[in-house]
Amino acid sequence: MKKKVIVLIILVISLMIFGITNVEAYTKEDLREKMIKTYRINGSEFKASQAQIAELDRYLKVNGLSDKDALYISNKIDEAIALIEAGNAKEFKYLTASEKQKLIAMVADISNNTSVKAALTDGGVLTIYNNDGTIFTKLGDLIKYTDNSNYILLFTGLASLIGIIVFTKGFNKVNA
Amino acid sequence: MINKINYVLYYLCEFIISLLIFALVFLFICDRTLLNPNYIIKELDRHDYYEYLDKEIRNEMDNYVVQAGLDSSVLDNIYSKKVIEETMNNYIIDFYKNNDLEIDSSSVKENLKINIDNYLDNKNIQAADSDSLEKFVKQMTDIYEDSFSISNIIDKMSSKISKLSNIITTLIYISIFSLLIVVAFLKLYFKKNILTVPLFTSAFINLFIVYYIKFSIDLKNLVLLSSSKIINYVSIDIIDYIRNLSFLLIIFAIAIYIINVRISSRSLGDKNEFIK
Amino acid sequence: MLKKIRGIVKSLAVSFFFSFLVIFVVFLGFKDQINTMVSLINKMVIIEAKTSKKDIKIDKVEKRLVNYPSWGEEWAKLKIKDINLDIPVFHGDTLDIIKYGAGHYSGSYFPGEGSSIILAAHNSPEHFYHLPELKDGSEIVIEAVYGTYKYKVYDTKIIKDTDEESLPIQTDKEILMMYTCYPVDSLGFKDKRFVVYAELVSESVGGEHDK
Repeated sequence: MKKKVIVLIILVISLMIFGITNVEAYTKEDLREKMIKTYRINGSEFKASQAQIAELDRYLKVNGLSDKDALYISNKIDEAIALIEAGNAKEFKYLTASEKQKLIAMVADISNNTSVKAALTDGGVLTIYNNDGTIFTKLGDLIKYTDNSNYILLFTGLASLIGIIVFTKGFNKVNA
Repeated sequence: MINKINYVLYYLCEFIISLLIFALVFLFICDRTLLNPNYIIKELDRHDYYEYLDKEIRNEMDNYVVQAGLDSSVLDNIYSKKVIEETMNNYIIDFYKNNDLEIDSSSVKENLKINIDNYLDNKNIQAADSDSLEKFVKQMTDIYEDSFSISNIIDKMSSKISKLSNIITTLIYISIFSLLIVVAFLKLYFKKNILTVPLFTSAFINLFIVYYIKFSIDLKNLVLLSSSKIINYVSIDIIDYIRNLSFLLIIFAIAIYIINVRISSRSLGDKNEFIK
Repeated sequence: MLKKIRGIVKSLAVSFFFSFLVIFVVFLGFKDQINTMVSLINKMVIIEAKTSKKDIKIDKVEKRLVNYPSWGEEWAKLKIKDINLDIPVFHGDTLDIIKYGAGHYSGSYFPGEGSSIILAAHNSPEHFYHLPELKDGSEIVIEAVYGTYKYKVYDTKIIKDTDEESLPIQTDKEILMMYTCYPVDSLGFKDKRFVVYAELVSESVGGEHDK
């Protein structure tokens, strides 16, 4: 009996060590690196602005992100890039309705995995909230004068701030 | 065999009539609420939206007065709550008629110019650049005009909504007329009550929609397009309207069933094998 | 009576079946769209925004704040002796915030983070009216809740209101940029901004500031 217990304990410890060391986690830092780099899509370069990076960093620091969610979002970003590349659009507004729908669905998927909340109010003010219900940031004059499709993706994209932010905040062209 | 075919045909007809009644109820609700400018105007009045708008316009203008080097008093009495109410109501009516959505801000402009002139006279100030003041006045009138539109996305839907609004009443009458004819024909053919199940079905589908929305979305705390909560109130009102209409349909279904049973029991020799 | 009740129950059963069929078919065909709509709408369900006073501290090693002020929260005092200025600094720079003091642009960094800091305020006498009087060498002090930071003006500029490149966000050096509408004493709409650039000269962490 004693022998069996010892074998069991060794087995459990081995499994734990194996479990801890075997998985390579995808962290929020990895996701951040992915989101701030320059992308070349359909002949144009796009990247997040310094101000967006500052807010992204602050958001991640205040609200955090699990490894599982970071990996999920990272995969969605890859899907989004593939979708846009396949469509040959040089700017966000030139995406087809179907492509926009697919992006919306991706953003919605990310939304389901994060607790980011956003409110869209008069004057086109988009308010984004922290996990504790306090306001993280406000962005004005965005929505009122944009067209239908930009509106949908702007607010959903920003509601998933740590999601496809670069692509839904109107594509910050590097050499605009 | 013929009886079995009739049996299936009967329930198929009931199912189709269920969908028709559901569609009719949906059209009716749209006609009474979202596609009805009088309903929208009534809701705005009921929830003090004009007062909210009055304050919002003033707050927004106040943000720019300081940086223009002027005093907040230049904004006093440049418009009244009554003017806002009339302007908003006209805007809504123009929206549903697909007219040009233009706001007349000429009186606001004139009043503001008078106030600024009086302010400068009182302070003994000579404006060095009249262009800057003109731009400021334009900025204030733009704020005034923009405040009446909840979103330019909704504004763009004006032509579609106007078309729908025009044809919906006709559609409802045609649907009721067609439904009555179909129901009468089928009643004669099957010699049975053919309305109870469709009315129940339509009511249940509506109730499902109502409670699905209530359980999956917290409408009371939805912050969308306006911080005045007008969207919340209108949404909740429409949901409650659908719910009440559904209960009415259930009562109507039971009433029709009872009437049919009474008629059936009074008529002699009615040996239809589909008796309920 | 029993027959009537049986009849109604049978009708109800058939109705439930029809309803279930319709709902099932709709969810089968549009499940993704419905879920998308509901989840997106739920992103905008906000219980009253809270304000929380967090203990804001700075990690000197990482050069980043440990906690950040909430939107609209006062987190510092801005003091400029040369123009007799002593005003609160709030997080966020929307017009409703800068009515009460200097607004901190949320796309910039905080004192002590070694990067660009952007503050904006109205050109009213209580706020940045005297900003154009600042010269190279003028001292600016930001007494944040987590420390005191001193800057020295090295440049001033008049820019267009749309010129974002003159307010660069960078992380190489701690630069404080403050701007206001210009000309400060003209009336009406202003399409220019007066910008003051200052570099960090000293910092002392852990100083309390009285609000």
